[in-house]
Amino acid sequence: MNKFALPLVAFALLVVMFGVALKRAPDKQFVKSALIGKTAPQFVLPDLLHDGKTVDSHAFAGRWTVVNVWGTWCGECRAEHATLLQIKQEGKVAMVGLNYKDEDAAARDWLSQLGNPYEVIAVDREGRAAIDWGVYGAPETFLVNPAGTIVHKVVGQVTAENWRAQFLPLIEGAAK
Amino acid sequence: MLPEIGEFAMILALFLAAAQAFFGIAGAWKGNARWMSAVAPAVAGQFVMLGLAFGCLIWSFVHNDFSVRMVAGHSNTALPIYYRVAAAWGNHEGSLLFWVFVLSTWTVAVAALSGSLPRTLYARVLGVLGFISTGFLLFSLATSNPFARLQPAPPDGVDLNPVLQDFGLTIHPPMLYVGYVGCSVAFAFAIAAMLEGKLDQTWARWTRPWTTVAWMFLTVGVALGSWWAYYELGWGGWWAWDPVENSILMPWLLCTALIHSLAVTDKRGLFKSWTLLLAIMTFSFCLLATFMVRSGVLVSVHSFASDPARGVFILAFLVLVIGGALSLYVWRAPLLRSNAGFDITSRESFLLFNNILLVIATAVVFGGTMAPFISDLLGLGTLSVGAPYFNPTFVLPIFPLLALVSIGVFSRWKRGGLGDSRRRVIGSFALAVAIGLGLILGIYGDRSLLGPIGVVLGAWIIIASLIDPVDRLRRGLSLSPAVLGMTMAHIGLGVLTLGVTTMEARMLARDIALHTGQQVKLGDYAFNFDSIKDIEGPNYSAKQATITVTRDGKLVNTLLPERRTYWVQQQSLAEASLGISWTRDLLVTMGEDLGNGAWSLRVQVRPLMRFVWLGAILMALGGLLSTIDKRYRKRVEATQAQAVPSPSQSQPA
Amino acid sequence: MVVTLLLMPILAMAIDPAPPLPDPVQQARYTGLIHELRCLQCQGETVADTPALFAVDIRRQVREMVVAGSSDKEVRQYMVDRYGQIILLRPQWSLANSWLWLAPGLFLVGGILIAWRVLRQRRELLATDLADVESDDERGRS
Repeated sequence: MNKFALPLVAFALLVVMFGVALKRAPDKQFVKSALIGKTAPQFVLPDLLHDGKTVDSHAFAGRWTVVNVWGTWCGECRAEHATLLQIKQEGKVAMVGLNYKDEDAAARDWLSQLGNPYEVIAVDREGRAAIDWGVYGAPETFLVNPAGTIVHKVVGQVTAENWRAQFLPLIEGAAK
Repeated sequence: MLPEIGEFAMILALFLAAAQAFFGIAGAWKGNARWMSAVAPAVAGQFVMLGLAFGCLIWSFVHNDFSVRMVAGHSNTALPIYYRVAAAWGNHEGSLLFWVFVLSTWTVAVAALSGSLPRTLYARVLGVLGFISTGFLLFSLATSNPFARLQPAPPDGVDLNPVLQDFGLTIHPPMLYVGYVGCSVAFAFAIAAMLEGKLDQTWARWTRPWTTVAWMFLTVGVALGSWWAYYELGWGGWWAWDPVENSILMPWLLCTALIHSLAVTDKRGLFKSWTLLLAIMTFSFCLLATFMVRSGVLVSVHSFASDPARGVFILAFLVLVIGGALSLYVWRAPLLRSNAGFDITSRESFLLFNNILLVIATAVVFGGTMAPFISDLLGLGTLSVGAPYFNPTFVLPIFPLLALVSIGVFSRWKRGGLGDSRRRVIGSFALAVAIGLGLILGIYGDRSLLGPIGVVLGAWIIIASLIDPVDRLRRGLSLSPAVLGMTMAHIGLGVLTLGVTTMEARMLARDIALHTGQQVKLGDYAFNFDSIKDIEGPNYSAKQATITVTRDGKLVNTLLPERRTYWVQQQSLAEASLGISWTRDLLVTMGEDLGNGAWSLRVQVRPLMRFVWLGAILMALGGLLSTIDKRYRKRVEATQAQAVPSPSQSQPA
Repeated sequence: MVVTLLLMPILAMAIDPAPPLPDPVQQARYTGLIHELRCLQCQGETVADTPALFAVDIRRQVREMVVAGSSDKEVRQYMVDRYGQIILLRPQWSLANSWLWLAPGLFLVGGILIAWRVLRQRRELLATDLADVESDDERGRS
């Protein structure tokens, strides 16, 4: 082959790569969770609303559970709050809050003002449970199946759209 | 009203650019003199229109016209006026308009200064530039109109991102863009030469000064970006190997290779097709860099796809420009051959290695930058590639290159053996090693190898570059600007090498919690946290610490780092404070208030940090100096151009 | 750089004011490790060089593991288990990543081979190339 054609061939390869990237679904997360398909990490953490009590993750075995990582310092958490309340009303899953690197008083104020979508809220003041869950910011939301396996994760807001498109099919698909 | 005028001016500029492209390329193809004579007026008209459009955009920012979406999204009434002006190019849409405006400025310069070019070459060069401009204007108007209105207009804008509110960032992108766009001139010359079907030494002589000036701007642009990251982000990082930085570095590396390869083509008529390829690749990477920065292709595959209209347009444009150029190359490059020979230790040979090593360095950076993207695409998993990969792999081609510079400056064209310079090569190396050893044993007592190797390589380049010019001056002979410029740029490279390696090997950094009245020692320096007070800026309030630095009990610097809170975006930002001297930078950054008057602080001592910037400045000045050499001013007779050689055999060039 | 920053969710900032570990070997390992881990909150920075919340927690985790006697390998694996390969700024050596690690060496070998071929051809041409080169006056020597 003409060696002067090599640059053109290399460029064509690159274009194909970019083209494929363009065609692929844009909804994929930047950081895929390493934990999808794995057993959800266990934790025993203080309960935000009941002093002296703890939240034990074993309590949710056997149910579809949504674990939502939030903090009052996080703007997007405020934006997704209404959606979380709606999901609670639907009643298809148990909602567990993981209050991440926050202050108890601020977190309680937030819930009394905006409403409480959670069954229980575990307090992760130091972010240790968050590391186990592969959390790197807030909000992050996990879907755990009744067998205790993480089946989905959304980084950023949970919206009515991604709830319907990504979470519900997993829950309802399993029910059939 | 003004935004509409601006938009209309852009549309007119689009038509003029299309005319410039058509009359330039078709006119030269048909040999139609009337068509070709229409090119220069189109260039001028386009420049006026784009100047008007860009002026309108700046006016909208200065006068806080929040009915313009760009202004509402990137400015605010509390923003100081100079940042409002800078905000005009601190966003995707505005920066595109700025890009075409700069392109049109370069085109006017080429049109005005290239009267001596053969007529068809002149028309073709301007035609190619017009074609690029057409593409950018189409892209801008179709997908990224900077003058788009917002209904209803908000009462105030959401402000410019605070990290962008900085002097360095008002001038870094323009410099870089001037450099990127400048590479389009070399590209246009390359395409024009291929369309002409001839490329001779005079072609290289025309192309050289344009390329060198573009390279100078790229150098300044890269350095400014690094400088900005260093002091504004404040955590001491000056080069993070992130995709955006890499996309800036790659055109610079290729352009550096190009100016050296052009020297060989100019002097010996060698490396012709290689020079063409480098000119194409340099500009291709400039285009890629422009789009990467704004589209985020490399930050994540998915953000690229998030705006499919832009993505598809960009890809189509790249295919047209780069694919077209490379196709032309397949056709024309085999015609360019040369029967010139050279010896293994001749200057040509050293410049060949310069080119190969610079291209390898580019390939390493490109491979590493694309790796996450490729790996993801092939389903091999998500990856990160950062400094721990780039540092060792980049040094692999770069250290040999630095050593070859020091020998190469003594070499002669065509002949090998280095002649009577052999003693100078060995002498300069011995001296550099002595300095390196002296530093290691005397001052540093070092444990890492990077510092000593860097010192030896850097010192060697400086000494070797100085020997011949100093010798010539001593004998009462003059030095041409070309030689002076080259010497200065090489010394700059040596200074940069010294600075980077010493600083990386010997820097001290410490994160610490301090109460007012306490001190921390770092190396020979004691940082005393004296006091803290509240201050107020035009659009932020801040806590400012007073930190006095002493050495052996004597005051050396008073540092005033700040932690600012910007009102509009409620963003908290650390403003580092620097204590600068030729031997070291002292750097203090404020973390957060830990209560009871205690703050977390990061203190750093970075030896020879100034050498990094000094090296870059010397390189840029060297480039500038070499372009004023009068050999480029000579009127070249067009008849000198030789005919196309027969395509019977091809030769590697 | 600009884009990276725009994407970065700037939360509360904190420098990690922990005192250095008493054992210099452990401190050196700690420093090395935090320069290899990527701050996922910030894209492109190491956890050593950013005050983002995430980085602070990861640094603490690394420090505790180093003190507790975990090897560098164990610390890296711990992070990969939770965050995936993306947290490592130096990709692990594996079959899937081998091309990335071999490429620079291969480029260098390829470059030298090309140079060798060109040099040989050009030296042969020296015998027939009688053209005079513009003298070395540009260089400053006769």
